[in-house]
Amino acid sequence: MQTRLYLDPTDPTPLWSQLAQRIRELVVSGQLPPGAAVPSVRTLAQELTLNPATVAKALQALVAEGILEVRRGQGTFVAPHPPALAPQELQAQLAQAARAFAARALALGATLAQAQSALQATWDALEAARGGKA
Amino acid sequence: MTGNAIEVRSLSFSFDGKKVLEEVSLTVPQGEFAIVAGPNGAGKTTLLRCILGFYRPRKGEVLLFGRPAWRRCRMRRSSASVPPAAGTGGGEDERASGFAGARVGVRGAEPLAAGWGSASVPPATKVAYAAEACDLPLTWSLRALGRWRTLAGTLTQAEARALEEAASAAGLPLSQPLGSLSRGQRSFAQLLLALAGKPALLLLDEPTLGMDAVYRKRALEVLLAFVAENPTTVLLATQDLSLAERLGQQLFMLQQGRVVAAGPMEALKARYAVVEGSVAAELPPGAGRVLARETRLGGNQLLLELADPHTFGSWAAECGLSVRQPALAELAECLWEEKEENHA
Repeated sequence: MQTRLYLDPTDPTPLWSQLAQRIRELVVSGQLPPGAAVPSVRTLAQELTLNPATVAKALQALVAEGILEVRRGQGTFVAPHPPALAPQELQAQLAQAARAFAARALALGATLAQAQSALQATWDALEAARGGKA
Repeated sequence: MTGNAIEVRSLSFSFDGKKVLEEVSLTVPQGEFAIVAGPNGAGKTTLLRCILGFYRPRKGEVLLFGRPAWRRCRMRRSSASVPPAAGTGGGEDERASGFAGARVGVRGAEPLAAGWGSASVPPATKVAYAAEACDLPLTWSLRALGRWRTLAGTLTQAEARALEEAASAAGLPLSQPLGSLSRGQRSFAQLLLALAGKPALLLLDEPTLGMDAVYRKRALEVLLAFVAENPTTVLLATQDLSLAERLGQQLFMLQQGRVVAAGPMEALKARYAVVEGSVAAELPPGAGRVLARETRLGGNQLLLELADPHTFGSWAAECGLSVRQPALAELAECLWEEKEENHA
């Protein structure tokens, strides 16, 4: 698991948020299937050289989102059913993510077509990974 | 227990009239992992030693768990340079003897390494210190040191055994004199000694210095496992910003003896912004202070200290500028260089 959880030290996104995003990607892509055990805070902290509090914060965020669940005395697991977002909430989160992507693409001087094709390629890759695992 | 493990108030310290620390204030709540980051010569080591009470500050005060740290100086002045006879005395004297192996109070002499108790705080709140510059008793083996500490009442037998197990697991020779170990191995031994007594407060000065990548990884694993399982407060001094970012909850950026930035890691970074793109428009008045301006192909980049992060974010969005938080390394580069210029 540790090799797939690489955190980018030059990425200005807070490390807990990066970690949450990496785990989210693993769940969404099916590499971490529903019911799969998530390593303990201590193990993740050691593997990633992160403060345990940072790891705990990432896991708590994912628990709050309903992506992970805590089973008392057993540890943390991928939730059996990923939560379905309310359409409004989905739109809001998409808009937020799109804004970051669009701003970055603009700053890079990319055209809309280039940005869309990059999005498409990433989308296809993630879907292929999910399909391959299912 | 709640409250602050460390409170440093307006601390100033000089060596031979040369100011090393200037009005340094910092507070570390109990249970937090705090970082003192700064370039060479910023005063990190001196600050740690003032906190430990090895150096008596010229001005200001240091409280450990609410009690003044400097009280210990008095007791250590009369102390021997070798570990004292085991199991001596009781009460205040015995607690003082926790530090009695240290040659301190004399300039140029270094404190004995790693993990002795402190006379100014109750025996249960142990303070541990590990640093490259520590004066490890080099003729002693790790095993002997662990057992001596057991006899001195610092380590329980179980703790001494755990120390030996941890050392074996790390591949550290147990019965060789510490002087025969490599620099990295000695650093590791210091860290293990510091952790062995389950201190309430842990002060680490570049704890991975001299370690190769494998040892460094192992040492950090040991440290992180300890932090995950114990409510210890940690203050770690380093110039390694990637490590600082990964481990720190609180950050104190030290530059030429002054704290130039301080706060919880994320909140601190949120006070700064990197603006990328074609920053043609004038910055809105009162946006903040430009710390760095770099021209790049196809645009430029500004590093700002923001007056109001929220307002600035909406302004930048209106102008179509991309705004992000700086990585700690970017920020440090600016803050450290900027101060040097100001002093030039």
